[in-house]
Amino acid sequence: MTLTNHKLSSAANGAYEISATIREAVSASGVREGLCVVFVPHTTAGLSISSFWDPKGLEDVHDDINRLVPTRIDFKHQFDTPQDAAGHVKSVLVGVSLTLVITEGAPLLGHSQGVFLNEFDGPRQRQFFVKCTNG
Amino acid sequence: MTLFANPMRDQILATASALVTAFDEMERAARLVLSTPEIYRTRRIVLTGSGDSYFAAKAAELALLQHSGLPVEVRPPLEAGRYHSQLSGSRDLGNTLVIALSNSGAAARVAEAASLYREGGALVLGVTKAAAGRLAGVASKTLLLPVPPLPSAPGFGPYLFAVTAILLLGIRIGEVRMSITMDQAQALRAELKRTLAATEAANVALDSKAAGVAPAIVARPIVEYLGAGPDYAVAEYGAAKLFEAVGHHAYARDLEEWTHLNYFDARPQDIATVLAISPTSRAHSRAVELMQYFHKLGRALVIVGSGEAAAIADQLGHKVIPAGADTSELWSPLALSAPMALLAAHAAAHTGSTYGRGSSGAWSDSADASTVQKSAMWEPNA
Repeated sequence: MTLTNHKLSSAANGAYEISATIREAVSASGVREGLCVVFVPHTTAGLSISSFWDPKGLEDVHDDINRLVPTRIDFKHQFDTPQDAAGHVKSVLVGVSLTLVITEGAPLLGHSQGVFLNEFDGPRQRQFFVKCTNG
Repeated sequence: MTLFANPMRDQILATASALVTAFDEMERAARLVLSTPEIYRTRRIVLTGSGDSYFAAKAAELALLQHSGLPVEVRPPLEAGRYHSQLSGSRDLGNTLVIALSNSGAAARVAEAASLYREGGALVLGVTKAAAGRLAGVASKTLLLPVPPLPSAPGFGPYLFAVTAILLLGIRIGEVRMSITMDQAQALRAELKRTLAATEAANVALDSKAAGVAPAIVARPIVEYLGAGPDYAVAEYGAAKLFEAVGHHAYARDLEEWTHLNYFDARPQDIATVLAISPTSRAHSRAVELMQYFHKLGRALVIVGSGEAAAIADQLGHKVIPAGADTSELWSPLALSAPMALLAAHAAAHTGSTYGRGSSGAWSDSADASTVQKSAMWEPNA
């Protein structure tokens, strides 16, 4: 079982693909058949699987998330910023962890699927963890 | 060198650690005092205060402008209250945040300006240490300054607490308005705390230097203090401290204005010139140009700061109190104000002056600060 930590600097709100990093982490773990958990230890970011083919599609995802939870000034949470308050809600909706199946030493993903860190409060210094287990 | 009690010096040297101790409390208070809707309705910030509070506002003005992303103006309370609050349009006032500063909370004109602005529709944030004071009573909201008891003397601690509070408010407003990111805001707060902590040791190191220089400035009948940008606020503050501590004739002048006005003084041999200049000042090149004039006129020149101007002054045989080498220009008052105040503290000790003339004789009206606290409130239609 291995746990690896990975850093990411987000420039702005949006989706940042981390599929290659996860593949490398799975490969380095030596796990051939098992599970891989990806986790972001943040409250204004999330993890999702979406199509990587058209970057505009990722913008659509974030545009609609923003329509669902617009940044506004009447959030009760005012210790930080309106963007931060909206980010908390978005993070809860999207989730902060993903479980992937590992087979033949690689994460099982469809041919259009990529793994993305969704930044809801950029620019920020981010990190995520990858944990691989046999099974 | 000062060999006897010097309460003003003691207050100056005690302030940095007091600020560092109180910093987290101040940061939290500055973070929460304005709601997000209040910050978003603000289109203009007016800073007002008298004396040290006015200089604190001037010292923090440009950092507030930069971080908040909002227009900022600093006005003395008589002008702010009786003129600007009355002549501004109601829509403008409705989008104005007035930050009214009074450490005691009892300054009559500051309370008056706060009242007049509030009546006009502005949001008034009182910044004071007096929770039950006059200013707190008329302000929409209050940011309490946790100024601890400090040695009784012309003020340095309350001034620097006020500067720090405004800097924290600027960071907060900028963060909420997203003119700076949360990460940038946090980095600025950490840097601000580090800067304040660093001044503690720096001020101790500057103390003997100031003690050595102080007799030379009060040896001249007139002391002029010069600066530009945030350093001009330091110059104004320095002149005020010499007035309070010694009663010596002193005034402050913008660096460029000096060439238009004070350059022509017919008695340069009677004047000591104290120039506040930070190494990264946008006015540094101008200060370098003026060195030759100061020298040729025979001014007793003292540089409070560092950089090329200080090096030239040193080469020409003038006095330098090296400060602010590691502080960004917009925060230079955090580093340069202490040596300015130390100059006044040691000048008072050197001349045996009683602070504020002891509020006796012709100055007896100033006992208990009545000259600034006991004054009739002006009413627009009275």
